[in-house]
Amino acid sequence: MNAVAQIDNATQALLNVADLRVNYGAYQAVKGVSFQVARGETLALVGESGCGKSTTAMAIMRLLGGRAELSGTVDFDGLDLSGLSDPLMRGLRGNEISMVFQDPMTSLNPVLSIGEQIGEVLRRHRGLSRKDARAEALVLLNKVRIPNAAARLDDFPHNLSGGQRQRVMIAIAVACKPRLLIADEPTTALDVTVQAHILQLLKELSEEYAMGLLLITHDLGVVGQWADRVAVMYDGLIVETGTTEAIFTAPQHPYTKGLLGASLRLDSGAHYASASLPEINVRPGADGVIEFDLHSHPRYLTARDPIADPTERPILDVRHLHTEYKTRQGVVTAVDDVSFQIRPGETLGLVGESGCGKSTLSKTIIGLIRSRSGEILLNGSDIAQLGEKQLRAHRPFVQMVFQDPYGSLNPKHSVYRILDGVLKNHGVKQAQARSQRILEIIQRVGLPPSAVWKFPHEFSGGQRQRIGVARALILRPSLVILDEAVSSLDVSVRAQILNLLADLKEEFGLSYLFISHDLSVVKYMADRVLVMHDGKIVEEGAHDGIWKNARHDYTKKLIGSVPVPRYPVSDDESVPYTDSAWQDLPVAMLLSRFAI
Amino acid sequence: MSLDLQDTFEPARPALNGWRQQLSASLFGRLAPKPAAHTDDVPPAPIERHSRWPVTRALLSSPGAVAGLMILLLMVLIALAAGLLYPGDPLDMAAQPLLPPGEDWAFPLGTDALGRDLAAGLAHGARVSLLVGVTAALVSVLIGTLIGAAAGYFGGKVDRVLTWLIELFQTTPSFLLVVVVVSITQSTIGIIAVVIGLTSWDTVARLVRAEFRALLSADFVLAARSVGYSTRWIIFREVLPNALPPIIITASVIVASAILTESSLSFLGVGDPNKVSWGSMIGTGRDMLRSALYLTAIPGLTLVITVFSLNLVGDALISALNPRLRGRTA
Repeated sequence: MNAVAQIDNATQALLNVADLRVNYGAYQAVKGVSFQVARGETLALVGESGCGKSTTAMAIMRLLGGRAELSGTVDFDGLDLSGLSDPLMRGLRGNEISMVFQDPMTSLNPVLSIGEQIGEVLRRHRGLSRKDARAEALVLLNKVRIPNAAARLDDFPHNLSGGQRQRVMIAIAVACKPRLLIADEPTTALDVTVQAHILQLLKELSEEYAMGLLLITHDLGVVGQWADRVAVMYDGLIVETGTTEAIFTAPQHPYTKGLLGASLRLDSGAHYASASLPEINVRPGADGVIEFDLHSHPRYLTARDPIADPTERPILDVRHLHTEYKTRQGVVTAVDDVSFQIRPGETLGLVGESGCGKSTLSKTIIGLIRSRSGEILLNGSDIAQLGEKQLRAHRPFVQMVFQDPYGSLNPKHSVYRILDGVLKNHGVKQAQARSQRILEIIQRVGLPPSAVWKFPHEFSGGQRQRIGVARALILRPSLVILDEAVSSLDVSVRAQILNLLADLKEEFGLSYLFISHDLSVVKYMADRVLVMHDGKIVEEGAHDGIWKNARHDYTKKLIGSVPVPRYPVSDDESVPYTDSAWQDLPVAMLLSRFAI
Repeated sequence: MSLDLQDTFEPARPALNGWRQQLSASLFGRLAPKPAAHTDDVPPAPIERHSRWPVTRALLSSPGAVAGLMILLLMVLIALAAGLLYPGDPLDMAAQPLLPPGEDWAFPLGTDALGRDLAAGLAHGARVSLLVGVTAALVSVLIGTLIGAAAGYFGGKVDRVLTWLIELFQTTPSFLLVVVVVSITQSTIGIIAVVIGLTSWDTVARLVRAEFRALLSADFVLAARSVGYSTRWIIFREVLPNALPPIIITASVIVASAILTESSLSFLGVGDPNKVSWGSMIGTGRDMLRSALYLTAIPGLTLVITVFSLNLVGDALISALNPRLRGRTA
């Protein structure tokens, strides 16, 4: 395309970013980042949301809006991208450097067939005729392994599944055999089983084309399995770089250690009953340098015995539940003959991919959707067919925490009003009593009392989820349904919320129905695990056993797809318990139970 | 309601348990109370009280809203004091006809073709026009919100019937409907105002229905349902506050169009003949648009200023009602 870019120097790194800074006015999004990507190498840029990893990628592509001020050098194969004119840059994008975005649902144009969308790139950058472009598009679709590719060329994006759409996006990205591919959270919106295939595909393509791959992700499992080198970002800075092996076996920076500790992996034996997850504690030091330290504490809880005690009455007993949806295409059975029990004090994990019916199941139990048949016995009485008025009496016993910490709190109400409404609706008449309970619960979920007068937008995602937990617990339920309650949180925040949930469970003697698509989280949190697929429970087992002795094919496939780092858990992975009051936690907790 | 609580507000537990302090302090070090400060006998630090009238406060801190409110207040005062300022019937001849503004300071805004005082007309007309505008807006917002909320919230059959009703009103020329109803009944100002309101609720209903449909799938509504809130509570306390912005904007537009509809009615001769309104003044002045522009321009400008200030207040109200935007000047 242009002569300068053709200079090939094998010894030089493909992409060399030096001291890249991005400012939005006074706000520094990226504060001087330097890294290299070699040909055929996969560099993972890891970090939590807001750390500047996506901004870095967009800055390399020069795709940031007008308000962003860039400085530093981006050297792409001997060509300084930062000084390049816009037309030249456009010639590079999609051609020499291309990008795959997170959401395959929105990154394809819904009114153009996929053949046209792939062909467009080929026609524009490689000057192919319409006919040749179509033929080449077919080759590419085959390359990204879309089944029956010839028939799908004229399909529109809505005819394809999420994974297939992401494959089409990859086909468009590699159409011109780019030398650098930037993949920004390419599998975050996809199911585990699909994720494994997409990452495999990216890896193979990068080897085939000797293409540098800049993989931006928050998922350390993905990093550990697929990346050659890792750069860990925090707050606009790279805190640690190294080979994947070095990062996973001997992390140096406390933030990296915390991230590794907080991210659950399927091959570790961590369980909530034996130890809390390490929490990263960030605080600005005296000289303006950010200090990190890690907290973890042992727990001396006894996990529930997975074998049922026949004399014990279950809190929730679901029998042969069916729930249906009416759609344009006809009736869809979302929950198909599901039976299970939750015993007092037990955490039941429910795993399944999107669309398996796990959310419908939880909504049926909580009475948001009516079941077609079957029984839901809550403390022995059937609530499946009760009307809204009769159901009200049972509502305090079972509550729910929702997935989206941003959508689940009314933006117009203060925290006090949100919690107060719950109590008012359940007959707590005295204002004094209500305010007491509100303050009590807000402190138990780890928020300061002053938080009650604030509005949801003033809190971070993790804090909002704490408010969501407070709302669920303020009625003192015995069962809490956690529907993907930690799925949209960052790794370190997720660790805090999981720790909080485990502590509250002990303190209030709660039972949880813990629903998640993430197997490693379920493995950590649950006493017993159910696997759901196509509306049915396909397998049930103890939290430690089911992963090793899965019987059902689907469970095996699910477990096989979970990205597990190639490197074993290092011995000093468990964070040393710090010399703080954390150590007296179990005793304090015991005492606090009398104070409830 | 919750505002009253602050007077009785007292923290429940004098002291936090040690480990909870640790938890909150380590997670929210910046926000958490100082752990060392409390022991069992020391009363806790008072909870920081929030402003009692956050919405009013935010509204008054926005210069646009203050200007708008002042103008509206002035209009209302003039309307109320019209009888004192200009005693006597504004429809009576007061001076020589077609006196231009500024010529005779006894009649600062001049007189019309029949020698009626323009200033007296504006003052007395403010009564009628404001009454018509506000009543019509209130009636249409009330009906539109109820119907739109019911259609959006319940969906299904209720939605189909109500949408059909909305469409019926949207496709009927509402002005014609007003003319017919007013011709059948008496043409007093009160009836005209209500009838205008009864024919212009369809826009509000459509907007509210759309807002409700979008908001119903929000997690916080699901959460409200799962907590067991009553339908009434969910509609009026959870969803409606979030659906307010389009309602407020439409209401200010309806005020303007109601004032204009009333003027068209006067022009057609079905309005209240015994009352002067801004609309009827514009209507009578229209014949002499070329020779005496001020006859239309002065009441027209008054109308524009009123509607503009309503819009300013509406915009500021929307920001003031949104906790996220509160505190920023509009």
